[in-house]
Amino acid sequence: MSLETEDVSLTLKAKVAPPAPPAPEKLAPEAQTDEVEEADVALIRSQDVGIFRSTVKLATGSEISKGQKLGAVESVSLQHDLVADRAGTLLEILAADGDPVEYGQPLLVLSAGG
Amino acid sequence: MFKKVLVANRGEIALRVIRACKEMGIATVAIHSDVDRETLPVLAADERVCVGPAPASKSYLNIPQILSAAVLTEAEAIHPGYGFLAERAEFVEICAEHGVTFIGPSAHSIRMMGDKAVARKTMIENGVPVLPGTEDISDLQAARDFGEQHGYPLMIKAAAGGGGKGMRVAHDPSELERLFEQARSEAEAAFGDGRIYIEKFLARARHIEFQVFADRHGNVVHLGERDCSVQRRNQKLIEECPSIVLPEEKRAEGGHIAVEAARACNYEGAGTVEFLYDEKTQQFYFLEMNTRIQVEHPVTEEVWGVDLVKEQLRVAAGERLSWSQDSLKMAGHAIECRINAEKPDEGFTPSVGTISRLHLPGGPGVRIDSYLTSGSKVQPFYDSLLAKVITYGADRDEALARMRRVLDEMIVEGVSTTADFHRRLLDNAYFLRGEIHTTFVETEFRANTPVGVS
Repeated sequence: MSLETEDVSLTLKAKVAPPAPPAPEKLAPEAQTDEVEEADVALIRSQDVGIFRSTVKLATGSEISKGQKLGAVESVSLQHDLVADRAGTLLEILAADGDPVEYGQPLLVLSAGG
Repeated sequence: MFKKVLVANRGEIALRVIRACKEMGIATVAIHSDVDRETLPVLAADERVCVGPAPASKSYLNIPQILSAAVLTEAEAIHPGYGFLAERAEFVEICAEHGVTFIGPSAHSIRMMGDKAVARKTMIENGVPVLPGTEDISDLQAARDFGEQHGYPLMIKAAAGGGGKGMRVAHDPSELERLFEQARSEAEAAFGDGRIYIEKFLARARHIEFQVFADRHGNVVHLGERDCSVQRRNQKLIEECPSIVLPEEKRAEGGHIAVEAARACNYEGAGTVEFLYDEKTQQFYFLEMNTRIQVEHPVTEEVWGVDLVKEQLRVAAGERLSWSQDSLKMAGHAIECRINAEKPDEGFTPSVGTISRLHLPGGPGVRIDSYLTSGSKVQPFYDSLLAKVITYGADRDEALARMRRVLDEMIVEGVSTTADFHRRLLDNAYFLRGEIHTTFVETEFRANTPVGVS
């Protein structure tokens, strides 16, 4: 018996508030809370319950190109890639490799300017 | 016993299971959709995992995400509650493949009883009385033939049915023609299975169901009956334990049939065998078996002095039943009113909103199973059940008096509820005399014009 899961889609939202979990302090010092609220940023959220796998060496400040694979979330049966659907600068990494993550959990913050 | 249990449900039943786990020292994991994050069961659980967006198909029915949550949190067992995944045989199998115990019967039992037509056949083979009816039929002509042979009215039912969905009563051939397709498309939409069958409709019958419990060591007991005759469009409104029309020997007979039905499908855990009961002939007719804990289980718990959810956990962990048939004794009377977020004056359409003011009464003999808190959001995505109000008394009169007192005292503001509708039902002369049947609400009681108020 196989499990079915829809293909993961990358959720990029412009002009969002800082992610609720984790706490806003974690965004400092690079990005002030106020600046983040005003900045044109995009959150990459997990679409699955699973283990976050950071498949590339990600560093804040990296330029991300559209279509670039940023990691994956492994659920019980499948691994779903997280792919950037636009170019931008990686502002924040909110989950570490191997962290259990839930549906909707923000994993990465991209500038959405690209 | 399990160290950690994941509860794959929401609302009052999720809280009910979490409460049982807490009292047994079992850690709990709540799964939830992203709109249910702030609900009481999620806050009450030791761990919580968001498994998807609001629509149940993407969250509470999302098997891969729920299994993933169980594996990640190292939960040993999953309690499905009622509805959602509670009667999905394939879910039971997937749980087993991932080393997670499903708290409920085997996939085999669920398949046998979940398909209403197969269950009917099994019961006939085991000598259990059923109403005259057909097997699965796909064409209208077969339904017409049955109508000609057995006469009207007829009940059209979904093979995959439950919760009254896909059920229609046809009084003549033209109505049969009209409702046949309707029932089929409703069954297709609700269960993804459009198979239907026809049964003779028994007018003025009572809905009487027996609680059964079985362990994997061959022990099966029954815990008497619940009278759920007060329904609206096959949705139960009020449940009572015991039924006031059932003589002791009929209780023993119904209980015996229910135990045999459980044995026939190699049952394990809590189950309910539903019957129509004809008062005139004192005859039971098998309706269906529900392979899960039922919404109305608390009335049985109050009268029999047991905790059915704790027993589910024990039995699923491989323990023997805590009771023998002889050790089980009933005392007093319990009534449950299901308070829904609905507008009774507008055809019971769902009401959504935020609870602005809330008072759930207490006092002697009162139990309210509810997930509501002040500020709770009543979502449009799910079942409209807000609270189960259960009152217990030494006899029916005391339980009824308590129910009136509780409903008068209860405050739920911010959404429309069925509380006032229930309160009016409790003054209805037919209801008070116990002269009720499954279409009593539609025929002898109207929301705005109570008939027979003394």
